[in-house]
Amino acid sequence: MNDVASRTQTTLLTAHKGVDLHAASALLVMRDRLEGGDRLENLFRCEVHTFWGAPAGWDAARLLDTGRFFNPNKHHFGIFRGPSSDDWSDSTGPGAALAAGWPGAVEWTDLDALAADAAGLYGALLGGAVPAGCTPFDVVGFAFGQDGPVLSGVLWRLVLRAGAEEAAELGTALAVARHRKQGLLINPHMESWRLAARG
Amino acid sequence: MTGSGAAPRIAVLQLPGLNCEDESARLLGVHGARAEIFRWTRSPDELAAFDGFLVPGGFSYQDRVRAGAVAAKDPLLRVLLEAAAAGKPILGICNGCQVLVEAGLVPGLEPGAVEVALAGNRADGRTGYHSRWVALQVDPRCRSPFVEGLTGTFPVPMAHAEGRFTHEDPAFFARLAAEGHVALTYAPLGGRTTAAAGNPNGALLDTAGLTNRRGNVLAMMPHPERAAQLRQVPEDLPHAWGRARLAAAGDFATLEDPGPGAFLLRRLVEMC
Repeated sequence: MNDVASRTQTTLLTAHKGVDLHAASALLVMRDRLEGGDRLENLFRCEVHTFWGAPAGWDAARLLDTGRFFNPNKHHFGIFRGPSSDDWSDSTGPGAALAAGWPGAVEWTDLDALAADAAGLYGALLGGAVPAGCTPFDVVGFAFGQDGPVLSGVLWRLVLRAGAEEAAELGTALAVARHRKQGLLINPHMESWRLAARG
Repeated sequence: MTGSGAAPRIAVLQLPGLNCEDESARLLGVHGARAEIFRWTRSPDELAAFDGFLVPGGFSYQDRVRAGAVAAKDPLLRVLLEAAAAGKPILGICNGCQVLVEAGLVPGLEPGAVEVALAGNRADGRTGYHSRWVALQVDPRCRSPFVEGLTGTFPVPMAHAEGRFTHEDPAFFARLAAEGHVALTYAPLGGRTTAAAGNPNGALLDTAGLTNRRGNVLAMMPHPERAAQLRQVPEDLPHAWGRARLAAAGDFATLEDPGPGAFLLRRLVEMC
């Protein structure tokens, strides 16, 4: 995944219209059984598909036509497009920062009112407004070794009762599974991840 | 066996979504255990009283988040960590293997730490769920009593989507193997003439099962309980066990004889 700067990156985010059961179970487990979990106000989840180097003439409708990535009856979606800011390559060690501005400008969404508001759409797919006194902490993970033009992963939003600085440390501890008592969402031995306190 | 000579009590964990507990308990009984299906709602203190443990296959918590990840946080797994430290035998099969990995029982360099991963299958240009018979062999560097005495290869079925033992540093698995943690590896079977070709999921070093340092915990992806009696072996399996199965066709008594996977279940009972 070199030559990043010369390519565009199209990102599809999908979120359940109803309750995402992965997030629901994870929320309960993290609250009840992980150190610091009592500071977790809420947890949301999107599936992420990143498409590289879209050819000329490509448009988002073709992505929807495949019917492969989501069910429009069950999921909200947002298709974002922007200059490549990250190659999501296999990285080990501490997760790098999620690039500012990721995932780019809105190209298409079923949430028409947010079609011109990238930050608003991104937030809406991740649970909407964050309660006062809380900080959203986002973590996206991609399994190592994916090849081909489509990378698939999962984006989590941890809504933490903490300030931004504390949220980064707490969110990382809750997200990255280092120990039976610490972390759940990312297994660092099979995934690269990016993270950021946002909002 | 237990010091008193009584049949050992083995708990077969029942977590929501597991689906192999009934046959696993029955087969442990065949080998002399008092096996009991232990529902996850019971007290961890009750679980601690058992002599040995089996975490069977299935889809605990619907594989939410990641196979085995949610179950690994259950308080019952704390009991298994303590039992492992006390030397009690623990066998995890398929989803049970995934639970033990996520709970830090294997390889267990630092008990409780998540030290490896079971990633999505990726082999032969294929990803996703896969089910077939595979052959296994013991890594000779492993000293676990679970596999002591096992020679040659033996066939068992595998059926999983996330069974690829992996680590961000492949050299880590070489270290695990050198230290005897790799108990079982995939082996050639039939037209798949190399270990790598016999590897159904792309696991590093063709790893099919890991043990902890002491060897009393074995976590393996294939299903020995689905090959515990001769009648479970396909007649056309290209292996000595397949030929034995074919020869026993119609002989209903012989078909009840132990199959290639029986050894591991019997050994769990013997280790108690």
